Amino acid sequence: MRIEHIGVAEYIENARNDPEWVSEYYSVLFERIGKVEPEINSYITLADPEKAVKNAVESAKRKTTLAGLPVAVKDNISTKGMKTTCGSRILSNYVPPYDATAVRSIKEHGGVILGKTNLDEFAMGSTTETSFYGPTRNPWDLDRVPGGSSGGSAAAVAARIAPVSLGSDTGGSVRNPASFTGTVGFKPTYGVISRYGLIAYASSLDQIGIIGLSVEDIALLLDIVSGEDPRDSTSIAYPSAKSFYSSIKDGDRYLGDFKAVLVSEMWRGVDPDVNTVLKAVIGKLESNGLEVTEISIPEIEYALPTYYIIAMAEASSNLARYSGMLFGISKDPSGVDWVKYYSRIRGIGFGREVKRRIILGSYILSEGFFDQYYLKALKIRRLLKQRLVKVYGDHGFIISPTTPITAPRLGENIDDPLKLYALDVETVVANLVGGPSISVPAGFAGGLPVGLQITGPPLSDLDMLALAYRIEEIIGSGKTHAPPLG
Amino acid sequence: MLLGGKMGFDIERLMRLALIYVDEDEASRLVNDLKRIMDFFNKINSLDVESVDPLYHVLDASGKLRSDKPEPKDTIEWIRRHSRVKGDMVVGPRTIVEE
Repeated sequence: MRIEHIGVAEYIENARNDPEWVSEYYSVLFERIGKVEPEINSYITLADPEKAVKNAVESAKRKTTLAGLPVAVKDNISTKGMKTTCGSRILSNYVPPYDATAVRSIKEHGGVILGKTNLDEFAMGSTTETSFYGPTRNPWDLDRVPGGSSGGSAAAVAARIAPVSLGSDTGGSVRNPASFTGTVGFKPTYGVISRYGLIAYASSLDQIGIIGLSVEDIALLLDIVSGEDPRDSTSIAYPSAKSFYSSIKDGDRYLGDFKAVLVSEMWRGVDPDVNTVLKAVIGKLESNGLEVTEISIPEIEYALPTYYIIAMAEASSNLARYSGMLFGISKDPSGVDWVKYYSRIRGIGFGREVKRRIILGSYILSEGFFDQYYLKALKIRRLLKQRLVKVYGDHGFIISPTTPITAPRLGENIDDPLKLYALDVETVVANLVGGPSISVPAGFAGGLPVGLQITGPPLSDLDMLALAYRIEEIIGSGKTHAPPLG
Repeated sequence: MLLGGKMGFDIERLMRLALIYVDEDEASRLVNDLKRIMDFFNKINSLDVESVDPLYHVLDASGKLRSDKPEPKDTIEWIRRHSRVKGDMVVGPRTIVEE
């Protein structure tokens, strides 16, 4: 069995036709995990193979929607009874008592949680190097990072040791690793997938997303995990009568039905090889009917500092709950003063980048700085949203590189926070505005994958996936190219 | 302890604000990073947004309430099993400290 080319759609079709095929698939999958995973380090925790295959076969026999589909889940998304560490020492012993809503939906539709994937600690990073459990490596070049923070989720899919995965995207954490690993990464509109059970980093920006081998696979899983959830007051029911999957398959939509725009500021500082690959693809799309214009949005230069101010401020508040008391690592607190106890536990439990962000977030929110930084960033956020919603209305989707460069080498950026933050320059806009964004594989530069990003206004998910599907038809799907592993 | 030259960071105050202890070696490196990041943040000072309202929620639909009905939850039992407990209480550090 050539597992490399089996995505979600192929798995479900095979499993529903022949439940016995499922045990063969799982045996090939776990054999491949045994071979490839030691090189990649994409998982923090793996499911018990015997239990996983048993559940999957039963599920296929019952002809459930997902028929035992294995799904890898980022380790900041809660899984009942399965360790959820957030890539941090402070949660190294944490086993959640409940499932995130997205995980529960997967299980209820007959999916199987294959394992928990590696990430930058608390999703704070863009390379998956800040994990307490060691870095994940890029399947295309083991000396390079897979991107982040959902680096494990992307690397596992790229390495074909998971057909699909859940990640989380606060400022590009699903799209950046998808771009670096030649996979498709989708962040829906804020609220389309419930955040209940997603361990919070920056709540107004956080969104669960999906990484897969094709747009079709993303749409299939999105139909399962999206929807309004009473446990997340910011979740929404997507206003459409049709499923995401059936919408993208609508044969009446052509590339010429869509409009796209290039924002000149988003092409500044882009690596020349990345630029060449993407401009060639855009030329091809234009010759197939896509209407492309070019404009300038000077305010977009403020998006990156604005994003980091808001993210750090929210992080400092969200991560106040880790005190070594109710969950996570602890010490005997009796007789110790509380400031000293909390400070020591947090000093030991958090890594350097997380400490940096909590400390700066607390500083920004403190007296004398709140208005100057936090409040001002929220005002710029509104300005950007107003400006971008107008651009989307006038010119259509924004097309840009997902990242300005291809995957850097391990250790290349990790000691310089500003170099690390600069990797997010293209992706943070979607989180600030709340709209959907997708990265699709667009080719290779120097042997490394390059991602094309599409960003749109809130609730344009259906149209965006349809456009991405048409683009995939023209430039080819990432599914056909597997990295030389195993 | 004030570190970081002109744009000084009072590291003791920062540690107390964030409730995170960092040792001296880590502190000097941290302050250097913080200075550089704050310089990067200061870029926003060049944009005039005086008349713009802050945006707290990206979607207008947030802030809904669910019905006020009790649901079974095993969280308390879970905490009882996973924390340091004495009777019905979680053991914590002292909150009243003699100065």
